[in-house]
Amino acid sequence: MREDDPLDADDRALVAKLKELPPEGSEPDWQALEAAIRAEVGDDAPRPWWRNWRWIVPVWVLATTAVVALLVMRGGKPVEHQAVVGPGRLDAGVVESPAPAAATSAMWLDGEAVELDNVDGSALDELDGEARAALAPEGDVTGGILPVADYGWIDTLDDEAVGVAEDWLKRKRS
Amino acid sequence: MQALALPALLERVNETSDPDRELAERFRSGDRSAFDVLVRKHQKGVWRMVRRYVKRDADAKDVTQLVFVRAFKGLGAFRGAASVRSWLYRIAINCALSWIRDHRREQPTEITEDSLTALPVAPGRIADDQEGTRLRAAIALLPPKQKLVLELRVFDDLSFKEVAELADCTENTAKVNFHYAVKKLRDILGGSDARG
Repeated sequence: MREDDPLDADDRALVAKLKELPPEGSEPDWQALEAAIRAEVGDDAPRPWWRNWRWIVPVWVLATTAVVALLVMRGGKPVEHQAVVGPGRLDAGVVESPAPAAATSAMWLDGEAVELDNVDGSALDELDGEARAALAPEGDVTGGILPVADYGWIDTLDDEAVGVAEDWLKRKRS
Repeated sequence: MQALALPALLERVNETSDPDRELAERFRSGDRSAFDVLVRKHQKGVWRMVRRYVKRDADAKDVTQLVFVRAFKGLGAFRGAASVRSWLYRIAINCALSWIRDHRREQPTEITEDSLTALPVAPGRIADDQEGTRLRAAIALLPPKQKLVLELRVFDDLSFKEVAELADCTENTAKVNFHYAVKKLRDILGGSDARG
């Protein structure tokens, strides 16, 4: 008995008597038991569960790398999101946009669009002349064809036209 | 002498205090034969422990086999918080209790206090056998925790630390339970002596 047992002499005697007791029952054939255990468990040491899943780490790394590479190759362009349309409203919700027309130059003239590419060059010269006439001091500029949203055209005027315009403004103020 | 860090020191102490740790490590690294060594070393102790719960030899053998099958499956995940022996004994206790639960009706009846004086004495049986039977009957009357602690300490020769691990209590509680178990055992045997 070990030293840390808090027992007196009688207790120790009893414990000694208990230790001398033969084991209960009849012991089995140990070799047969060992063989039975061996037959039951097999010859291969079992693997921990995570060893069966250890392929998942390299696969995950590869997949992540592939996704990152794909994003980098696409130049980081934002993905265009399409509006989600409910299944029953698919036909009604889709609005087909018209095919883009070829680049053309057109202008609005007297209530109708005029394709400049289709207009004869002489007619354009005629229009140009009419425009210059409209800038004449007697003309009504506000009712003419001058664009009101873009004043860049002022830079294209020659000194004579600018002088005419200034005279008109002076008259307008007075 | 080179100073050791505390965790390294504790690791060394643990390694030296549990001689089966190396076998467990070998088994974890794929050495199947290490398990056979563990079986050879502990099958007797496991069988004796199981036999105290399961009252038939053949059943005890089956349960012992089950204990080692479970140990085989679980040893890979064993991390050495307890000694391999107490880990094995813990499996043995669980398997034995589980077996008793499943075969409750087949188990022989428990020994009662009356059996201390009314035990049949066969003609020619030697006095040692009678004394042994009387002692076992007295142990069976102890409260479960005290009985467990006493048996682990006396019959399995475990340290109080291992007893505490198996009885799921502190080392001091294990010592106190052992102390009370011996005192109570003396009381029981003294009482039966008086009656006899």
